[in-house]
Amino acid sequence: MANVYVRSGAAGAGTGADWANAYTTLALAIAKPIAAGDVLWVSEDHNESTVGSVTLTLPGTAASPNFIYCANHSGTVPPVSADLRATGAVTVTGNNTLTINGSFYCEGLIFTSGNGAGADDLSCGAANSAHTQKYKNCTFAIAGSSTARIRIGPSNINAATYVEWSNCIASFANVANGIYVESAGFVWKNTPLALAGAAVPTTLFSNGQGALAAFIVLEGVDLSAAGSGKTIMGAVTAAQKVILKDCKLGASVTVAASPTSHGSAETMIARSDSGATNYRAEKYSYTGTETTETTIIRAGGATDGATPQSRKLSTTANSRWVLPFEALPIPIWCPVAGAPVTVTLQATSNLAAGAFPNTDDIWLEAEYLGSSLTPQGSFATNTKADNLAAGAAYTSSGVSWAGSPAGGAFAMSVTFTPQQAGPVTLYVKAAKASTIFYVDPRPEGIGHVQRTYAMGAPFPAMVNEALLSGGAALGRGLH
Amino acid sequence: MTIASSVILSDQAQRDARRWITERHRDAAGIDYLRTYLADAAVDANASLAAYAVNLEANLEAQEIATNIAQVTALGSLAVTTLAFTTAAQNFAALRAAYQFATQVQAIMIGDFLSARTDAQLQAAFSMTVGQVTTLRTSKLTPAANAAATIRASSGA
Repeated sequence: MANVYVRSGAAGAGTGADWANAYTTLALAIAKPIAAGDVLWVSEDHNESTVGSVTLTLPGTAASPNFIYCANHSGTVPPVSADLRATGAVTVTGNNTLTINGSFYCEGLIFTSGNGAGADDLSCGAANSAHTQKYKNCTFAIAGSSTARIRIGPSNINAATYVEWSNCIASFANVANGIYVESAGFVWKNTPLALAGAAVPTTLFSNGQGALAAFIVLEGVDLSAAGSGKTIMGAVTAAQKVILKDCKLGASVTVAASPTSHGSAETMIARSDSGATNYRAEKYSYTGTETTETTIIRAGGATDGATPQSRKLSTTANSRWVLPFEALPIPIWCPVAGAPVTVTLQATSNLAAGAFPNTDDIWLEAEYLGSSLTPQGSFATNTKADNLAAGAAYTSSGVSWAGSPAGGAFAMSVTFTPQQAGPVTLYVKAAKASTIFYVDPRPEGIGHVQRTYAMGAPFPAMVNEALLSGGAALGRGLH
Repeated sequence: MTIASSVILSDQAQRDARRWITERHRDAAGIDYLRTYLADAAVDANASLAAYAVNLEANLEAQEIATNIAQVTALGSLAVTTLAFTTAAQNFAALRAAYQFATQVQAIMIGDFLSARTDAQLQAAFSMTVGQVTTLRTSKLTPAANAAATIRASSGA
């Protein structure tokens, strides 16, 4: 594992052996050639600028990544923790792109792509292979035209790329700039004032021409610069899952544009807002939108101790019984085993005055531990048996709701017999198109809202965690 | 195609005076695009509605062009393109831009796609004379079409 030094101001032999003889560009250092696992030290006053497209391809692998650190060249050699800096700059000018391939950890560099009139993209992992890249304390700057983008992942091939930004800033020059994530998992976390530059994109995230699947998680990121008139997640044509957890949003920002198909973007947010609230949990999908409602609420219903709230489910014209809108899950704890239990959620709607939906318009589904031998989930629901059957009309539950909802109050109940005490996940599903339902997320009947447990849903760990947090906003802390 | 109508479906105040606003934007084909956002109390919902309609139209245009270019660079003359929100001129301009950064195969596919256009279409797209189009076909497009056919044959397509 060799140490290789890079400093644009060096005037020595250019061997990379020390600061005095450092390579003057990252490209020269990589061409040394370096090997997987080697460490590149970039000086704090490094400021390389190239008139021409630059592709940096590091030989590191996920198993043996390279390490790139920006460090004080006047400090200890090799540098130590106190020498780390965040000022080294790698810049491309003109109508040119900057591409960074390979697997590595990079800390403290400022990457800027071309300032020309073309698609002067700045790409993390663009080559047709898998990349694993983690950046900390870096800046990614688009200096060019409206067609320039920050690109995460290969745009023309499916590859298992993972890119993580920790305390990294995205800087833009034009409102038409943005971030394209394709064929990649992208995690952006722990970043105050994440958006910088002369302009904030009208649409922050989108997909490029490849329209490839992606998984995006933003956690603890300040996106407040994207306010009214801006959209965080665009109407992508690719299969993309997007999670915003504990983020600061801009006032009046649009979280997600209308998804274009069942398989396209699905965006969820948990505890993210522009103000001093911590209860927003939302889901935006092709079949509907779920938001946190604070005026149309059940009397005596769910509250986080300060703000009474309900779940507002707004279905689109695309929702139907076979593919309904599925609300964020509500995790609860069931202490009962071997005996039937009934769980009930109270709800109302914007249907005509006093009208009630049918059990195939909106229903409750409970996933429970129905076997004493395995944790395989069993399902109980109060909807109709199949698509050819008819739903039954709900009747009045007699529960009162504040905020004057139009429709009548009704209750959705399921009865099941768990064979193990343990978690139960409640799903509300809404199929009636272009309808608004309000659901009190405080379940009645068994146990209490569980505070912590890992959902066994078929999602990657981060989605799981974020969903759980979404569930937290729904359930944890609600009384 | 443009956004034919934009309406505010609901504007519902919350406890902190902010408002959940849901808009419906409908294009000329009758497809709805919903937008739901939590607006500050002072937001002018109608102005926001109008501004979003403009942005939405631009996004739909960009998406259509992106999809078309992806089709062309991958499939060449077999590409299935749409012109629901954009004009042929817009797409040809984007195709020119894409050509500058195309891989070898993508460049071949672009040539193959153009080879399948009529002379009149090429003249209009690139402001060329009949003679220039003939030269373009001979020197670039026909060889690209032949290369694309070879690629397809080799891949079994």
